Amino acid sequence: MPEPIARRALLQAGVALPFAAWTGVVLAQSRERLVVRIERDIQNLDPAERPGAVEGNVIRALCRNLVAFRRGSFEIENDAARTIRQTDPTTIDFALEPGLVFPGDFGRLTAEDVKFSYERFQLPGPTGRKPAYAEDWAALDHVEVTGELTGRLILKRPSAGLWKNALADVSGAIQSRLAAAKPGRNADIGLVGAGPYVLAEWLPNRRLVLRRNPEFRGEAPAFEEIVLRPVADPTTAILGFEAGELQLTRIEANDRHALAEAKAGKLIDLPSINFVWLGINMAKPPLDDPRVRRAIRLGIDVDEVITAAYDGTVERARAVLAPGMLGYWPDAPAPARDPAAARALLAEAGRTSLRATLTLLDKPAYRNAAEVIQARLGEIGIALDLLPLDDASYWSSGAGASGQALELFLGRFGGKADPGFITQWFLPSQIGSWNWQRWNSPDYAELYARADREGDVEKRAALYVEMQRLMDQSGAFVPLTHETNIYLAAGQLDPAILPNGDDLQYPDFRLG
Amino acid sequence: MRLGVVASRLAATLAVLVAAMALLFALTLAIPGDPAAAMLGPRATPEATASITRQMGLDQPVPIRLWRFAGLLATGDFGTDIVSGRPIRDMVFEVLPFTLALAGTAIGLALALGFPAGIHAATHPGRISDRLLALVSVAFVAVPNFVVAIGLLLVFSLRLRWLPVQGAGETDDLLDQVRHLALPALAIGLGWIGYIARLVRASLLEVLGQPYIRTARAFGIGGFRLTWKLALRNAAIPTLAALGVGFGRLLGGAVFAEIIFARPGLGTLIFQAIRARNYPVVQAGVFVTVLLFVATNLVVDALFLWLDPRLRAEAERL
Amino acid sequence: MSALGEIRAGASGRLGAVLVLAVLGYGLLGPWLSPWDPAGIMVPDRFAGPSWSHPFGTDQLGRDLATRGAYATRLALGLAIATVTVALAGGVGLGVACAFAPSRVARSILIGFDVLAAFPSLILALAIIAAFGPGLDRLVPIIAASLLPHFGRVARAQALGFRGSAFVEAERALGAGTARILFRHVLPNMLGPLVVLVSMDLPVVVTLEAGLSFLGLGVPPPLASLGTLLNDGYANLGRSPGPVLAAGGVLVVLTLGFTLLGEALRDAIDPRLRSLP
Repeated sequence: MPEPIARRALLQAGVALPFAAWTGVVLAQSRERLVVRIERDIQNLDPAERPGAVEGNVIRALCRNLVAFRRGSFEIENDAARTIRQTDPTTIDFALEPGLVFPGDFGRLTAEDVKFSYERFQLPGPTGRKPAYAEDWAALDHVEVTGELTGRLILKRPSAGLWKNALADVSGAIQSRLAAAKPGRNADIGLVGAGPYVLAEWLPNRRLVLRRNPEFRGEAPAFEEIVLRPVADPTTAILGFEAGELQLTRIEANDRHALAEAKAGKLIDLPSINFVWLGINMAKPPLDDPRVRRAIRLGIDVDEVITAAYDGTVERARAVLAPGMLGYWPDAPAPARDPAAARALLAEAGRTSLRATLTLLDKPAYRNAAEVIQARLGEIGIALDLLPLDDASYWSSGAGASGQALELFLGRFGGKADPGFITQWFLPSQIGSWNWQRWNSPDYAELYARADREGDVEKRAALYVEMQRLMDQSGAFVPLTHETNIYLAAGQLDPAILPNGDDLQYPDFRLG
Repeated sequence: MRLGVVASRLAATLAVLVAAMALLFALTLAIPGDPAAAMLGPRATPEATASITRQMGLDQPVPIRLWRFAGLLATGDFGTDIVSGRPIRDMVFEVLPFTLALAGTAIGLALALGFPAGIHAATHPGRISDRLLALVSVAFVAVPNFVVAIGLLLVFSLRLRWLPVQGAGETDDLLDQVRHLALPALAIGLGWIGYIARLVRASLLEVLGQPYIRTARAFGIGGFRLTWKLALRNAAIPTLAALGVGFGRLLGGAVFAEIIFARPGLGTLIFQAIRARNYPVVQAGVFVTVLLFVATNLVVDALFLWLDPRLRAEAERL
Repeated sequence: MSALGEIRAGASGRLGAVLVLAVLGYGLLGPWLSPWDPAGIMVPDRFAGPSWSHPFGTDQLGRDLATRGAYATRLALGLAIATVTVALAGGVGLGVACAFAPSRVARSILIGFDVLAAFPSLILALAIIAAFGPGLDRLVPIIAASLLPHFGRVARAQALGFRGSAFVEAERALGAGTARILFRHVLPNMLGPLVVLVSMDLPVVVTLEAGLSFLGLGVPPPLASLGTLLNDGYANLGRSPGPVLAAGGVLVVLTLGFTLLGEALRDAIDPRLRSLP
């Protein structure tokens, strides 16, 4: 904190800047306000269409679910449900806590709201297509309302992933049916939940303010107000943290080195189950030739790429599911770089010189990775043009005409507790949505459906291994890493972060 | 005579605005491929494409498009943003005050520091401080302002922790806003401090060399206040001229300052819109920026006309 | 004292000349002399500090910064020369035409200059990049367009000075055509002021390109530009301030050197140029 002496010195130096008093900066010692950095501004708070974890974390703070994750763990406990039981493989009975109300004048939280919140995942959205997260509730047939506060989820088939991916997570958020019916295309009106926080203010690209919900029934959150500030640039975020303007930010792996000695706050390292890979659009010639795809894979040295990208702080990934997850495939092939073989394959395919575009999210890690890939592929005759895109553009580049034109890309998906979550994005039904590889594999889809139904843990694991084998054989994926999640937190702050590292539980943040 | 000058300045201003409109319009014609798809880029869903085609009348013949375009710009209706659904005019005018505050503070800083520095140099010519001023002022004008901004960021925010690093401060707290302005304004204004200092120095030296001044001085008349009045009177016009002409550069500098210090403003708006391929917002932002620039020039010219006869009269009285 | 002599006498002019020579040497000879490939990635060597083999250290991918800086300087100089040449040709042509042409044509040219000058060049560049995307070939016309009015006005002023002069009248009387007069008398005398302008405007071009590259809208990877070097350095500030200092340093030396030299030249050749904006 600057002292008055510094101010006098400033004035003496002839810099007549009009300061009157140093109001100082809120440190984490205050129970009133916490400023957290988010990497981009929110776009759509609809749980069925949410673009990513940034929105997911806000939804989690605004809404209650029937069941929710415990603080910092994937274990489940009751939330809005007073009782909830799976009575048979396709039926789940629930009874809501009485007295839960929505803020504003949207009345009580009833079983009708549960019905509305969950059934809408199967309804076509405003674009006419199924919502992005439809798969989370694919097993649901309908919700039967048996009383004002009681109901029953009727499933079409058993679903092993339903509890963790749907009920306890963002897709299980209960929103007010009445509020959603009101006109207003925007996030700040459409979503009303009965959670510990309400959305008090949203200035696009400047800040989003969560304020304690006075009508919340349950343990009040520690912070009266949480301000989410979008800061895209990682360096600016760190500077902001060091200046005391932010109390929590995720940091890039390459900044870890410098911050390890910093005393400004504490570093929180979390293992990550994300998936970062080089993806190839198989539908676009000449990438439709498996030899070309194989050549690309052999042309790069994955270890070199991830060392450059993450400054040596991450491990190589061999397949989509990370170690420790159900379905992890430890024997997945990890070919070494072989430029001679790559060139031979290209020659065989009749493509000795190729030009392609590599699309990536504009972040230092991915830029570094892309430049290394560009250099190495250049050595085997493939000239790459790099296309770094900002968040909004990047995440829409797989859809529509842009998705058809896509060639190579650096992909990054966040993982969640159940393997069914991250593997759903490669289904044929996700082509034009999140399956940017445009990999059409009915076998994969079939295995996926079986795996979701499968009750036996070992059999389920084997099915996921099979699915990953198919992914490997397609040649459209070059797995790079599972990343790492590093957070920088101000001294006393004890943030609540789920084990996947992406999902934050704002209501459970505490002062340690 | 004066009316004629005013009229011709207005005409020139109008010409510039028309040219800006024409250029922006021409750019939409020149975009390769389907303009709607190009404008939307990755967001080109069928609905969005139809919407923007309708909004911008992209399927109409060129003269009609031009007419519509001119009409829209003239009424200040920039359309609706595809991404957020908000009127673009709101988006632009929401951030305009920040850019104005930044530019204004930068100029204010430059004047507040440059004037005294110039006067000091003129009254103590040839000394080390004078030579140093000369070199330093050139340095800050020549060196790119984003380099200066990064340097300032490093020194003042990081090492010394004196000043905030990012953002514009809390809206209701004026003091906080001022604190957040300090560094960015300094980053932009540093070059100007030196420039103005040298202008003031040059014009003041000219005056101080006049016989009647030297005589008055020899008789002990004058001193501090006199020096200041002389400086103000003589340097006012060249300074105004310089500021008017350099305002464009200032706006350019503001873009960088806004980005490096993560401030909201026209620069950030345009830059982010470019990265997001949000062309309608770019158009609106560019147009308003040119408008701002042109308006400033008009104001500067008006000030000239007003000041000039007054100054001459005052000088004669002296 | 001759112009050159006066420059040598002034301290800042000398400093400017030295810096310019240093930069020219770095940019022209550096790429030739360096043993490193500017795009040569050596990941294990990243963020190395200054050493004999890497005078400025290495960047985040292990590439030699001194080499990248040299190539970037060469790129900046090349771009600047190309741009200035285009602006010069256009500006002088239009300026002289303006001086000798009938008044209506002259007025429209002048309005044209005003309009071009009215656009803040960065904003103009951003608008064009928004439409056409980033790229080197876009940069030249944009920057040239923003410099053109400057050259045009100076050329016009010089040419106007000649219009009524005695010996032009004499030549005319002897039957010399306008073109001959232009080439033999007007243009050579313009050289001085124009050289000054070139020297003063070169840093502007370099700055604009560096700025656009810093924003990610200029030169694409893996090409080295002073702006991209600065951007990469800024992104990795926590890891090492080296890249920022190296890139920033080169930029400062380049811009400062040319500006100091230009000012000294101006004072030596034609102090009247001071009054021109």
